[in-house]
Amino acid sequence: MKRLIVLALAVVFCLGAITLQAESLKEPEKKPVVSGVCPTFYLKDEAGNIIDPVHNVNADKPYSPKQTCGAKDCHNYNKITEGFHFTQGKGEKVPELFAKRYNWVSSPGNYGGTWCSPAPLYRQLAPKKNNNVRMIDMTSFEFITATCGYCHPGGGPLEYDREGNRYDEFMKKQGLKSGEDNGLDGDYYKARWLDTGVIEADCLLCHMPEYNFKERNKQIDNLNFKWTATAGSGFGNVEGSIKENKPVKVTYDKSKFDEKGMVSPHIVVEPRNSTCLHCHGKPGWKKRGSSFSPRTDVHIRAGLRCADCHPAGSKAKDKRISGKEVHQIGKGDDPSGHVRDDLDNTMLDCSYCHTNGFLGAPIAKHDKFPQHHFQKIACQTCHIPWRYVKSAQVQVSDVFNAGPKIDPPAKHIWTFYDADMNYWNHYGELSMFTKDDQPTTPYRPALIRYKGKIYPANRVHSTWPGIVEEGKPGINQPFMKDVFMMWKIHKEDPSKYPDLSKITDDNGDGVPEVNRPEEIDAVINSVKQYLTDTGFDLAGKKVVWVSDDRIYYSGNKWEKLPKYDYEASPYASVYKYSHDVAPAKAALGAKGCSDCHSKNSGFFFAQVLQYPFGEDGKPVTIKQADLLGYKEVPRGRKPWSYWTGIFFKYLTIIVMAGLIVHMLLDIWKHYRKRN
Amino acid sequence: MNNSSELKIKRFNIFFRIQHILMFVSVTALVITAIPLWCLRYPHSSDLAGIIDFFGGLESIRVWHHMAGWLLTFAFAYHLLYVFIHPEGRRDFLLMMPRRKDFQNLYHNILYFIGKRNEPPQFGRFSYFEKFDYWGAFWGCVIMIGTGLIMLFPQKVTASLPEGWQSAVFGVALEAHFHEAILAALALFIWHMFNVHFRPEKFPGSLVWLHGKITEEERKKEHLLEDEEIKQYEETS
Repeated sequence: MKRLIVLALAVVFCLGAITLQAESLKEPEKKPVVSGVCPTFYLKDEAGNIIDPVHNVNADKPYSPKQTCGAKDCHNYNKITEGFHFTQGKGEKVPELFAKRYNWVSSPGNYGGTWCSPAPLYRQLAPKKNNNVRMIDMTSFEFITATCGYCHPGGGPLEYDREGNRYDEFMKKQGLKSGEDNGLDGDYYKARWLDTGVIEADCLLCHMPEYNFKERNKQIDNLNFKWTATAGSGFGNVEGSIKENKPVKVTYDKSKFDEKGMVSPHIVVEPRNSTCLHCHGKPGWKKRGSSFSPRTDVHIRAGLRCADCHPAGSKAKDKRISGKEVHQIGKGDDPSGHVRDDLDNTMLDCSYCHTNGFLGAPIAKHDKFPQHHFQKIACQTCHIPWRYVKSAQVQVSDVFNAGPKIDPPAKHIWTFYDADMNYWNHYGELSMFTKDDQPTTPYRPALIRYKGKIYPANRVHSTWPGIVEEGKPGINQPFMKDVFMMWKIHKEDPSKYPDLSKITDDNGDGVPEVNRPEEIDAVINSVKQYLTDTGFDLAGKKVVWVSDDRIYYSGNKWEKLPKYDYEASPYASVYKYSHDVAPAKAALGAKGCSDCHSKNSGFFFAQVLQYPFGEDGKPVTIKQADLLGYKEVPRGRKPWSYWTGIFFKYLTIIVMAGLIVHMLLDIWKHYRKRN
Repeated sequence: MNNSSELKIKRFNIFFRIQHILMFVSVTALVITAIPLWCLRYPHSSDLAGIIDFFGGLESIRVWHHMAGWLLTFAFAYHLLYVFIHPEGRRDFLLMMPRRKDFQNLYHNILYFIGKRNEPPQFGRFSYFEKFDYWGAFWGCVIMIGTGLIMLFPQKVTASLPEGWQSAVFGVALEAHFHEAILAALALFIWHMFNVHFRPEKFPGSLVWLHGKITEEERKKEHLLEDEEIKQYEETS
């Protein structure tokens, strides 16, 4: 028996050893080679099943970028979608400054924050919990359809609700119904996630140069959310419309697939400029007069790409954003942009390239300039002496803009003025012009002092009706659609909200503006009346009118609002100019010091806007140097400089006092002797 | 004209007079061209910007200021050479050294001014206030030329400084240049001008800077002990 047991153990031991040996001889698991080039791959649907139209496998399903690109051993979808381009502020704490100022924000970004408008009024994200339908402006679902989805790459708030649930799955699980009230939940009220699906982060939107944004946007308009990636990438044609309750059908383009049913699309690591500008081009025009063209920008003329200065992931130099697949794109530091402030200045700045010649940049030579210029003045200030395309210096949201071709109609509530305070039909121009047609309107940028340095910037001015609530800090805004509707009704029937007829054009530019006390009262009273008429909850609230840093309770009663010196208003953005950089020969100082240090110089003596409309309707201006707070060129604050100054000051006082006393005694003695 | 009012006593030789002329030409030019540069401290004032424009813009002002600075540098170098090489230069430099007697003279003079002494102090070749003028100008040149060169050649200076020193050195240079310029200008245009032009006994001033001579009367009154002092110097050297 014992022998038998020993023999059995020996057999077991031998078999174990053979198995282990065989395991070690096995071919190691094949992992994709990391080479920067994506191999041929299968498309997968949301369940992770292969889509193979060549062999008619799952060919009726839209493809899922998450399951396809984020497949095991490929890309880390979760890490990628942590990028702020995806989250748009979702999940970030409201900055203290925002909390003090804005009643309506729930994040620092476009989602739940200040949208992407330079100043109120704009659409505002409804709170998660609501008890009054009238107080819901924009739900998470509408965030997509209110044009935000045109640029948002998917993922983040387009995929998950504010509690981290995937919208469609959560609706199914909770038994919520498409298009119903769903407990007035700000993420699900009237939402149709069950039908539309969600918009996953669409990798090819940025990484496929031929991506078809128009096709994607068409699908968003049709509420075909989960089909957007399939249509935008061109893998298939999508027909039908959830919005119109027409079944949605995808037909894959077999020419895009090989004989195995796999695809090999044109994928690039660094997005092309045209891709970035698809989203940043139009807002850049309104906010900064950006053109990003060889005509206006020395860097574009030199062939640089956005990603050269705004790197991400493994290309990033800054440790805060570097790392495989980290999709935090290097960014600057905009005074009124507060999404991921902890990642400010992670992009390559001017000095990085222009001190070491990175990417062939010419080394900057400033031998003739005193050093303190570089400590106090940003590069952009001298190298962007002029802007060539107009930007919106003023956005008012209290009158009706009658300009043609403004779409969607609610945008008639915005009236823009350019840097010279000329009326500007921005949305009319947007409907007619591409960036190649931007009219040339040169102007000198205003200068601001931000974080100790002088920058060129568009400090946006604004006037708008607001709402203050007892016991709450800051101001709320009435819904954009309400103020638009109020004007629309008045336009159609002037007997409705008749006070609005008191608002006239006082400055003769052909556009009415609110500036006189009776006009201010007309706005306040009419908005209050409209909101009351339509059941808006005004309990404990007061309608006010805000002009830059003044809050008006009536035409004659106003208070000053706290703000930073660089801001025109605590409620309007300040956009630093950093693009459309002029060549060195056109920079301030290239023609000599008198470019700035002269009586005719704009640097100190230009008049910049302080308030858009004075009592007479004309702009109120302030000297640039006063805006910058100049009293005296600040001297060195470092101990050595400081104490040297102190030493010489007291030396001068003591020596001169002694000498003057000596002289006076000498004179006194002389005259006393003579008399 | 009696003997005592004849210009027969040689006080300054031609070398010293040339140095003085170079000095006052360069310093006057430096002070005038420093006015628009001072205006830069208040760049927001359109009136002061108008002064800069009046002088033809900062570039031309800087060129003139630097030229005047080089002239001052030349004058100072010339003076040092004179002190090292010329026997009178060496002698005068040593006689310029401050002594206890100078402080006693200052005390005595003040007592005289306020009527506690009947006679003023007697001076040697250089009175205490002339010595003050000299050493003020001497150290003024060292500071102004030194700090001026630091600001004129920032990149060369930066390259030669240890890491981390640049900011402190440039800050100190800027402050010292600015404040010392004010002190020097005040001292020259108030104190020195008073002593040589506007002092009641001196008005409207002598031409000793041009011909180098003084009268016997001046010598007795202002430098009575000069011979004794020179003799003592010659004996000791």
